[in-house]
Amino acid sequence: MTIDMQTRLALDPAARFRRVGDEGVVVQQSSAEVLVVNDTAARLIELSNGVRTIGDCAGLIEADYGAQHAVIERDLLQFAEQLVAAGVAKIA
Amino acid sequence: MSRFLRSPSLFPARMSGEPWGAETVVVDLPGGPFRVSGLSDEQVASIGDRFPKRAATGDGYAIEVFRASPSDFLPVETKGWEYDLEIDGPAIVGMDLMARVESDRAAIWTTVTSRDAFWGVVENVLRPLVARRLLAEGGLLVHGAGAVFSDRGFLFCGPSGAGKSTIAGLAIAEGREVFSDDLNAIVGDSIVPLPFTGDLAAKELRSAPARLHTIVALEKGSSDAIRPLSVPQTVSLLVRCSPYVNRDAALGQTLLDRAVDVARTARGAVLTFRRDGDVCPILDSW
Repeated sequence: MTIDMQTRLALDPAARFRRVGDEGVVVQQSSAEVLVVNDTAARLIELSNGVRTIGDCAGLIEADYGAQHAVIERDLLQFAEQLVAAGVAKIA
Repeated sequence: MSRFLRSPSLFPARMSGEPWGAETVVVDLPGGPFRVSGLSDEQVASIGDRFPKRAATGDGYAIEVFRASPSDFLPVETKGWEYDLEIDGPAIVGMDLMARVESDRAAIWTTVTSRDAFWGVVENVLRPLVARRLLAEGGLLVHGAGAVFSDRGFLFCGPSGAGKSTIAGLAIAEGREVFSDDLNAIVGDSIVPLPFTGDLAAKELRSAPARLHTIVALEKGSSDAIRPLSVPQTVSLLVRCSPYVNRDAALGQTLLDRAVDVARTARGAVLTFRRDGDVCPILDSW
C-alpha cells in the first residue's frame, strides 16, 4: 500500500516505544528487533494514533519545530515507510 | 509441531506427577531463591555441582520435579546443532524436558536423573525463569560476558559469536576477574554472579557482585579501540540482549523502561577488538 499524507499510522500492538532524550527507542517484540529513531520520527510515533493522518502530524510538528513544511513532509513520509517496513507501525 | 515431543497435545496440563524422590534443595540465585523438590539423591548432588545452595528451609519459588517417560520424547540428532528451547507462554520444552512455569511455581517433567546431566535440565528452566523474575523484581538478565577492570564492572553484550567468550578469555589471561561469559544479572547498580556460563567453568568466576560501570557492544576489527555509545543505542543493545523477555509482549514496556534506567546509570561503549589483541589497558583507562 502506498503511504502518503492521508495515511493514518498506529504503533503495532506488538511494538513498544519509549522516548530517550532527543531520540526514541522502538521494540518490535515479535522479532526482538529494536530501532533507535531521531527526534522527528519519535514525534511521528507519538502523534500517530490511528486517527491523525501523516499530514496532520506534519502540521503539528511544523508548529513545534518551525521547519519548512515540505522538508517535514518529505522526512515524515520517509520515516513512515521505514517504520512500516520494520513492522513497528501499521497503516490504520 | 515440537522437535522434542512425540505427542505435543499430551503436554501436562496440571502440575502433578510422580516425583523422582523425597529430597528438596534451595538454589540461591538472583530472582530466587528457588525451592526444588521431588529429587533423588543423585539429582541433589547434580544441582550441588552447578548451583549455589542454601539450607532447605524457609520460602522460595517452588519447582517440583516429576518423572517423564522416555517414550514422550523424540530422538534428537545433536551433531552440529544449536540447542534452542521451545517456549510458548508457560510451557517450556527441550531435550528430555517438559516444564510449566507459572507466576508462583513451576513443574519439570524429565527422564534425566544422572549427576552429570540433570543440572542441565534444571538450568534450562531456571534461565527463562530467572529472566522473568529478575525483570519483575527490578533487575535484568543480560546475554553478555562480565569482567572487572580497575575495580569496575564491564558487561560485554552480544549474540552468540559476538566475542563474549573471547573477551572473557582475554581478561582471564591477563589475571582479571570475570563473571559468566554467557548470562549475567544486573541487580540495582551491580553485576551479580550467575552460574549460567558458556565456555567457562563455574570455578573460574568471580563470586562477589561488582558495580556496573560500562555496558559494551562488541565489534571485531583489526585493531583495539573503544568509543562511546549513546544512551538510546545502549538501551537498544540491552533490549536485544535480554533473552526470553524481549519477545514477550506483556513484558515489553517494563523491559524498555528497565533498559532506560540501566543505560542512564552506567556508561555505554563500543569495543573494537582483535582476537589476539590486548584490550585490558584500554578498558582499565576507560
